[in-house]
Amino acid sequence: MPRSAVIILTGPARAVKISDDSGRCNCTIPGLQAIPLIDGGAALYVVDGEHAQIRYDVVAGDGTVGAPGQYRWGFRTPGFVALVTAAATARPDQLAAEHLGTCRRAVSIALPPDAPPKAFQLQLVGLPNAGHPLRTVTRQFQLDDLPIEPSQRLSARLDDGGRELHLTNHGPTTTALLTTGSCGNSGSTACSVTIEAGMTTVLRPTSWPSPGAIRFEVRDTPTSPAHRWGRLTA
Amino acid sequence: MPAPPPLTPGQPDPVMLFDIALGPGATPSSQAEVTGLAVDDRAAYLLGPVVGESTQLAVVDKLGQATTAGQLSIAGRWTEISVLPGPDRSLLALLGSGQLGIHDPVSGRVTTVFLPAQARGLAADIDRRLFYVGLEAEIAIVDPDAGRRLCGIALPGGPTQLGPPEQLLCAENGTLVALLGGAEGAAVAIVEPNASQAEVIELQNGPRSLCYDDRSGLVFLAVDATAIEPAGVAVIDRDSGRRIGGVIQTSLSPASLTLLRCGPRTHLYASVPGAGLEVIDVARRAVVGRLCAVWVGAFAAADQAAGELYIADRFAGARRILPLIGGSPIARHVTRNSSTEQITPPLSGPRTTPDGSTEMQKFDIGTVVASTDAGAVIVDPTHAELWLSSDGPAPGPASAADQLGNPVGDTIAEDDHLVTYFERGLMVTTPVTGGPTTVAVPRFEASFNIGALGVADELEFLLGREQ
Repeated sequence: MPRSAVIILTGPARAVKISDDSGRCNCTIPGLQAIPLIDGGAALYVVDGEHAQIRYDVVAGDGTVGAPGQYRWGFRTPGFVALVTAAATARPDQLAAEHLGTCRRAVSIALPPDAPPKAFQLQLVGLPNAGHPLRTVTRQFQLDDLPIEPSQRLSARLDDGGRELHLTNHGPTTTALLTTGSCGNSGSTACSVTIEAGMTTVLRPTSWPSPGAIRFEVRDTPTSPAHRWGRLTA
Repeated sequence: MPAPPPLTPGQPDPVMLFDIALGPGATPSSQAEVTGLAVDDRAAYLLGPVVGESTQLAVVDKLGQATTAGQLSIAGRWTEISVLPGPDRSLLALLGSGQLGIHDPVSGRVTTVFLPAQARGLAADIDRRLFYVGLEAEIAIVDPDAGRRLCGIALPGGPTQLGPPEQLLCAENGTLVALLGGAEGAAVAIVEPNASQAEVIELQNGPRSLCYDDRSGLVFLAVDATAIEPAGVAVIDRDSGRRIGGVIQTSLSPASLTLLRCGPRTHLYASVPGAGLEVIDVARRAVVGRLCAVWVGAFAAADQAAGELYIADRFAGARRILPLIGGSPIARHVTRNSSTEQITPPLSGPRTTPDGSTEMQKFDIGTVVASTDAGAVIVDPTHAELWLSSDGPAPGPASAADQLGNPVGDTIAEDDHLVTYFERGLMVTTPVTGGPTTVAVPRFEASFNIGALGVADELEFLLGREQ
């Protein structure tokens, strides 16, 4: 399992805290190293090893509260990219890279209890894996207008070589617009998806690189078998 | 935002079943049904029939060939069989009238432990290396290595007059479960590991057999049809002692139930003699697969590590059942790579990969390994064998799978070489005089070109176009 990842934050925002699941902050987190950039417009970290969670608390940068423009936060491993886009606000967005260094790596979005509701864009990309000459397909899932409520946490990960998107919703039922496709391929499709409260929703296009219908499953927990299933069409 | 479209409900993924008859040497006696069946990682053990004053026993390897122990004729009338696998050899327990025979198939030696005449119900506790035998009012514990009976676990009588256990089983965690039957009712007795007393769940109707899932705490009962419910499987929550939902309907009354797990999935196999074998998805409480065959007998045993089932053939010997989970990444990949419309039968059951993260299954085209990052890939059989071997390409105690990680793509032909890419290495088979040579070469993880990264490039970088 590849164990290194790069985490990046760009745009009119800054991380007021970077912490892990043990309560350690910033440079006390083992394996986390800042990478200086020449123009200073982004914060870049490299992280090595297994981590249950590396969390960024992201707020609007100095003097930019209410200013137009959105920030981007994301992380990349050799086979996986997660990218969150949102408007920078005064209350921190809690964005986390989870289970880094394992095959269950995921991204999560949460808001503190006293924050106003907010819409995010979430993008997950499965990259061609580890230099295999025949693995050239990049598979991409994008959730637009994804509303997150205070105290809600939504986590997302890819499975089956990037063919499946798993969304676990610790909060109220949420609806978002899903676009799937392959990079470099114009045949993408969009449909509205409901992410049920307290459940794991698994979404899988029936074919690549031009996804048609999307098969969905609803599970009680991320690892339990589905108790409801069916198909979504654009 | 547009309103979500209505969801089109679908069917659960089916479980397809493929059966392989065990070879000619597997049949204890032609045209005779086995009376007991046990399986471990080495072989399947087929008991029966009784010929004169001896009982036939066939020891069959997983490919269906009789082993060197072959067909044995063991003095005495034995009716039940259980196996205790060990590092060097397995020990068999044979239960007969008033005695337990502990049989070493390698040496042929049989040690007899005498018991009361009504002994019934036999189970093996692999972790504690013990056999359990049901008696009138207790479960006897037998140490097979010492060849003697130890203490017993008392079974409560209860308000109804319950007889001795009709069936005894030992779950993976050591929990003992006994089906008690009597003239006025039935009950399930459950004994936790190291407990000296049983807790009892009384039943309204006497089931034919039972099965226990130690992870969920559910007891499954094979029940006949009643005036208000069909034949099938009743589910009881062990903690509350109450039924959960209605009966999961099967085509006819199951004679036996066997639990088989792979990864997060738990399937229950209901044997309906003369009709077939039905697969029940425990989470969905529904029959998701069916093998219609008149040869299906009453006795079945699961090989949990191999993800396979062995089932008695009503006419002779036994058969090996290989499940293929429809809709799984493995089944999808095999279908994509099949040259025909027919689904390719597997050569083994679905097994967990060495790192425990996912599954793999053998087919004639190779071993299909499904991982989170790479999805399902087909690995050349010789490469898969080396990957699963205990010796890795580099010196040290780590296995090949530990050193190389999971395969990341189908095995491919490059020039004259056959190459399989893994997360941390690759295997190459080069045709040379005397046969192929397989080597493993360490590889570096994909690198990040962060030195050239500028702010404007961050999106391109995160989308993986930077490399």
